[in-house]
Amino acid sequence: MKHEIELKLMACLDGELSEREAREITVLVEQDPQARALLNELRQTRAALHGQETLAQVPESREFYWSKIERRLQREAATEAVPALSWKDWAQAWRRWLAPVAGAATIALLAVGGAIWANRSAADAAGWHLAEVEDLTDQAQSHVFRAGNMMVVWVDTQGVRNPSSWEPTEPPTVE
Amino acid sequence: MNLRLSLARWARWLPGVAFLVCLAAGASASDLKVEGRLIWGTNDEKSPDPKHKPVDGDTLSNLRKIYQWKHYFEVNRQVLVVSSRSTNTLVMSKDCSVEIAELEGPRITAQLIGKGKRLNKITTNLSPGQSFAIAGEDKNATAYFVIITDLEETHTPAKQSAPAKKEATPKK
Repeated sequence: MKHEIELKLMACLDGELSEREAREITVLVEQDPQARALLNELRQTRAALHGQETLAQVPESREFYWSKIERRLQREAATEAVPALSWKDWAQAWRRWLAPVAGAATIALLAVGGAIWANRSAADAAGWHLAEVEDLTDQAQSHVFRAGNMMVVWVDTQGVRNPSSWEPTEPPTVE
Repeated sequence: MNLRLSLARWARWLPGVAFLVCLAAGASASDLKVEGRLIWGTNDEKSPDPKHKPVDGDTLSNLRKIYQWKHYFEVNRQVLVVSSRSTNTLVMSKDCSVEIAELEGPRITAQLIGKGKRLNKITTNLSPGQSFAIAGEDKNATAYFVIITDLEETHTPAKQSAPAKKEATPKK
C-alpha cells in the first residue's frame, strides 16, 4: 500500500479530509481489504489511547504561547542569516572576487603597457637617429654621419675637417 | 569529467597568474644589455694581428658608404649590462672606454673616454637591434670605430666578458 494512502486513512480518521477525499477513501476501504484492515487497526489504536493521554496545561493563553514560539523562530532565523565567518569563508569570498578583479587588472595592465610600448616604438621610429652630441674638451670636435641605418659620431682631434675627404697617405700599422 | 573540473579550477587562477606575470615582466624589463665592438679601419688587406677578424658584411657596407678605408677588422668585443638609471663602462682597450648611462625610455648617453680624458657625450635613443658608432683617427692614417649595439633588455646581473688579449690602442 502506498504511504500516501496510509496518510489519507489517518487523516480520514481524524476528520481532516475534504468531502471528496473522504468519499474516495470510503470507496477505497470498501474495495481494498488491506486498506480496510489498516483503518480498523488505526481505529482500535485510537480507541485504546483515548483517555490515556495527559492533558498538558499551558500557563499562558493560546495566542501568547504561539506568539512566543513565533518570536523564537524569528530570532533563530536572524541568527542563522548572519553566521560567523571563518578564515576559510573569507578566503572563499576573496577567491570569488580575486579572479575577476585580477582578470580586469591584467587587461588594464596590458592596455596601458601596450599604449606605452606603442608610443615608445613610435618615438623610436621617429627619433632614434636623432642624437645630441656635446664635446667635452676643446681638443675634440664631433661630427655626426649616417652609414645606412647606423649613426656614426666622428671625433676629430686634429682640427675641423671632413673625414670622408681624408686621404690616408701612410701605410696603416697596428700597435 | 574530473579533468574538466580540474581545468575549471585552474582556469579560475589564470587571470591572477597572468597579472603577476605581467607585473614581473614590467618590473624586470628595465636593464640595458649592450655590445661594444672596437673596429680598426685600414687599407691593408690583412691585419698584422691574425686575431683580428674582418667585420661582417652589413657593418662593412655601412662603413664603406661614407669612409674610404677599404678594410675593417674587429679588434675587441665586449658585452655590458647597464642597470636601470645607472652607469657602466665598456672598456674597449687600454686607452679607450665608453661610459654608458641608461636613461628614461630608450635613451642612453655614451661618453667616449680616451686616455682617461672625456672627449664627448652622445645622448640618443637606442632600442634593441639598433647601433651607433663613435669613431676617430688612429695612428698611421687608420681609424678606430666603437660600435655600440643594444642587444636586448635583460635583468641578468651586470657582467663583462673577458677582454681580448691583443687590443688596438685608439689614439683619441
